[in-house]
Amino acid sequence: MAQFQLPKNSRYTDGKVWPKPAGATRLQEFRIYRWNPDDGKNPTIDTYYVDRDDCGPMVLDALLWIKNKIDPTLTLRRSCREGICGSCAMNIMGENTLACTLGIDDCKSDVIRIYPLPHMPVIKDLVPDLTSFYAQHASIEPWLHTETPAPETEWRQTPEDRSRLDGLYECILCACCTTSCPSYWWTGDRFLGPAALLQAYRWIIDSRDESTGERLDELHDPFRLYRCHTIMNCANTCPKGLNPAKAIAEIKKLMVARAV
Amino acid sequence: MAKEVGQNRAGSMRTSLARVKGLGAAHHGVEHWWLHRVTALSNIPLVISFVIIVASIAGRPWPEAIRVISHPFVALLLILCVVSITNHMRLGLQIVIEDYVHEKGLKIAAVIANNFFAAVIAAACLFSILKISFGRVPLPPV
Repeated sequence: MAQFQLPKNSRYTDGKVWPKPAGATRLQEFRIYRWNPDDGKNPTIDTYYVDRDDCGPMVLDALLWIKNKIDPTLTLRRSCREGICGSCAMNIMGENTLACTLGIDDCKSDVIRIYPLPHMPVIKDLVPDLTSFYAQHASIEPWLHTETPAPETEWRQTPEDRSRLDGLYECILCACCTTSCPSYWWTGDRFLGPAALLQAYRWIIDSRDESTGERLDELHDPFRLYRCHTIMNCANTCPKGLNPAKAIAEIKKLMVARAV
Repeated sequence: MAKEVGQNRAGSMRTSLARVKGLGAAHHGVEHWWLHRVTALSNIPLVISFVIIVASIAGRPWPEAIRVISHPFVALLLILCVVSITNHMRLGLQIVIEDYVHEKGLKIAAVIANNFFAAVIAAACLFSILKISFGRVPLPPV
């Protein structure tokens, strides 16, 4: 059966409460998921207090403040700090998003709870194992397929055809959508998930691509595509404001269009 | 001992791309999806007619109820309703089974049982409607 409860060794308990920074007047409490693969213990939720007057405005700033000033063992991915690399995707206040583009004030909570992206194997603390997610993206062959000999210059496209890629090409593969999808939680070994399917659609409707039918063939599967039940978590959670559910619905329409 | 990164699911030495590609695309599924939608659409007028028919004979004497159901138009509506609903039920339940039942043997058994269940329900309903429509159902003494 689908797993509705965390396995025994993944259930978390309350962890360490780290001391409040001395002399701070404006404190923000954070409760953060901690798990160390090397100590053989279950995950814990550690409590940290951040001095808001000494810290930047974003949740990522607070995490780095904690790492620099309180607990250097806190492990997370981050790179660009401006919502373009997708590294710092995590579950903050129950919603998958990028720590770098979410303001601490926008959480509007005395306690900000942070967990790794849901239902993925955890490597350490807030770092999930996205190997399978990346492989699913690779499996849809996210590059231009052509048979016509390559032109001397670039493959040409009308401005209208180019504009059809808007709302698709902006995906940064942060995995917020895919890991928010219950269908992906239950059948992520066979369902490609919203991110990979949005990317698949991006290539299906690219006017320059010559493998549209073959791409649809590869998605024509009860699990790869049709596990999407239009739950819409993907569209609600996307930190870039994209709509993977709509892209998937468009793929389903194309499937019908060539069958009926 | 921590598992190797990317080896969490099976612990095998296959690459993650090989695991994701698996046995390849089944090249079916659109029929299932399309028929599920079409039967959802046909369910709307048919279920409304069903409710009207049932409401019209509720509390009425037995012979009158039989007379209503054996009217060809009413019987036809009921038959179409049964066909549409049982198909929709079969398709929908199969999706639920595929979502939540992952053990291979159990899943196949559940999908087969689901098909049998829908077929038996459909056959029983259709037989009842036809028996009432065509048969000389003995009327109880007045």
